[in-house]
Amino acid sequence: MTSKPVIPYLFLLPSLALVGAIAFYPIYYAIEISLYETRFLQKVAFVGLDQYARLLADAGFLRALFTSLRYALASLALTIPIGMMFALLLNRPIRFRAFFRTILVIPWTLSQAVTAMLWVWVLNPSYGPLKYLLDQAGFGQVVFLSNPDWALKIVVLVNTWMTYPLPTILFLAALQTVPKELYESARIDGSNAWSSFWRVTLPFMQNTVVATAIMLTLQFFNMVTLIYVMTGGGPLGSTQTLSLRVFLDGFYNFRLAGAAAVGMVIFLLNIIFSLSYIRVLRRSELY
Amino acid sequence: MRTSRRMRAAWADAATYIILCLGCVVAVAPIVWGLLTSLKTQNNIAIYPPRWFPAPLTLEHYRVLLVDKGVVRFFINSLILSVGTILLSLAVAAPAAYAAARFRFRGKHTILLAILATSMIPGISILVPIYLLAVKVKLLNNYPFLILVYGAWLVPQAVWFIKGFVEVIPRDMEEAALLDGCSTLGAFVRVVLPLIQPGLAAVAILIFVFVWNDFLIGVTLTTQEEMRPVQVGLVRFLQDTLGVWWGQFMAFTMLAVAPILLAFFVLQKRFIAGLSSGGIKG
Repeated sequence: MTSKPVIPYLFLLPSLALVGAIAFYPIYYAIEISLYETRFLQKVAFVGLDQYARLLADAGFLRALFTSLRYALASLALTIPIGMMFALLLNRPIRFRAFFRTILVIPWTLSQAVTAMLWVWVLNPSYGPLKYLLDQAGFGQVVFLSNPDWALKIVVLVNTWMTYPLPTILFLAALQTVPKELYESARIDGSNAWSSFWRVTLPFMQNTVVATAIMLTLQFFNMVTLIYVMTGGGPLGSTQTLSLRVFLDGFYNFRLAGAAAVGMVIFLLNIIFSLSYIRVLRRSELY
Repeated sequence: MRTSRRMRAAWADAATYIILCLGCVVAVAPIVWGLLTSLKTQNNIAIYPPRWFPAPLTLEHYRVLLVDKGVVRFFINSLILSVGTILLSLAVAAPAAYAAARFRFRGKHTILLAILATSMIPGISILVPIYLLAVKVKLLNNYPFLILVYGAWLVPQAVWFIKGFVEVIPRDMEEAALLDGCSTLGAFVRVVLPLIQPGLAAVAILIFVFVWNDFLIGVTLTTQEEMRPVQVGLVRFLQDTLGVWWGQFMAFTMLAVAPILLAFFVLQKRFIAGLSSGGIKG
């Protein structure tokens, strides 16, 4: 479209100014802080990469990194298959499809804080309904979130509960684009439902699955609120992920430089995840 | 052979219904349990084995929250923040989306990439510097600043979403308006904006859900109790209340959820459209 050459720039300027001021500048600022020693809110001395070097020697940091990876990967390993299962079921010619879809999407609309509140109450070790059910089934003495062996697993399950609708809807949309002829020819080749899923459906949806996996991994890795409200990182640090550590260090322990440095590590890991996924995607497309 | 195939189809249908029904039960059970709890008397809450149904029924917890504890304040705060962010984000993102969809100009690719790239920055990585920035320029507990932060978070996705809506409207009407002597801005405001209203509405819903459900940005940038948004008020209420008043906790939770569920049931199509566009959940 023809117009004065400055006009498109003027239209884009507000967006650029906003994201520049409140996304790019803070990244620069975070890098700067992470190079200093801070005391409360003041920069004290320039220490270069000391903060980062200290992290590598910090057992707590490595443990949090490992916890983050376990949390993200375990959640991914549950949400993707569950999402796929519901998408396949909802794609069948059944009655009340819209109803089932609506109800199944509900957990996604809830905030992390609300989800955490609801589940902490369901999991209440004195009066909770889940304790009652497990008691009836003969499991003695369940403590749920105060058990360091179980806390992370439970938070992963709750995270799965609130996240599975996203892959469900994305996979359902993708399923509806698979050409019917592909199934016909697979059936003629003697494929049953199971093998035509692996031979036809999955390869066709591969891009959607990978893109969803990237989005979810990043979301899980960067998650704070759900874990913070459910466990606060405990018991015994067993649910302290990297992101939660940034939040606690930054706003409760006032170790701002350390928090900024961990934040940068998270940023870097986000980039690495995205790039490695894209690489996997490219390679499998060539294949 | 034929009957066995029919049998198998019947089994597959039965299994489908059973799994979907179980899924639905699991999806709503915690919410229903919370709702039931919020309607029970304290004696019927702290009790084992649990009493499933609220008898007698009471609205006492809601009364305490709304009248004695003044939680209405948090809801007004979140409403202000949501509306403000919707207005700001749309005002900023719509022209950008229009320029991105319609014009060719130098540096377009770079500029768009720069805007989109910011949506890759994890919030948790820049929360500490944004907090320090707010302290430095004395903008803690300041709604315009909070709205700017929310807006910056949401604008990249809003631009992409709206761009898709601009691209599918025919160009003839804008061109006619331009020939009639309309300026580019005039054509955008008078011709394009009315046509992309459904897109703007969908983005507005997504922004509302994001801002209403946000805890992290709100807790970082508000330190005074009366400035807290809903989610922060909710979590702090759980953490600061002495004793285990689960009736009140669940009543607060239900109040926090109500606007979102209402919007979801009324505007389901747009909700799900937003979700499949790469839903935002902070």
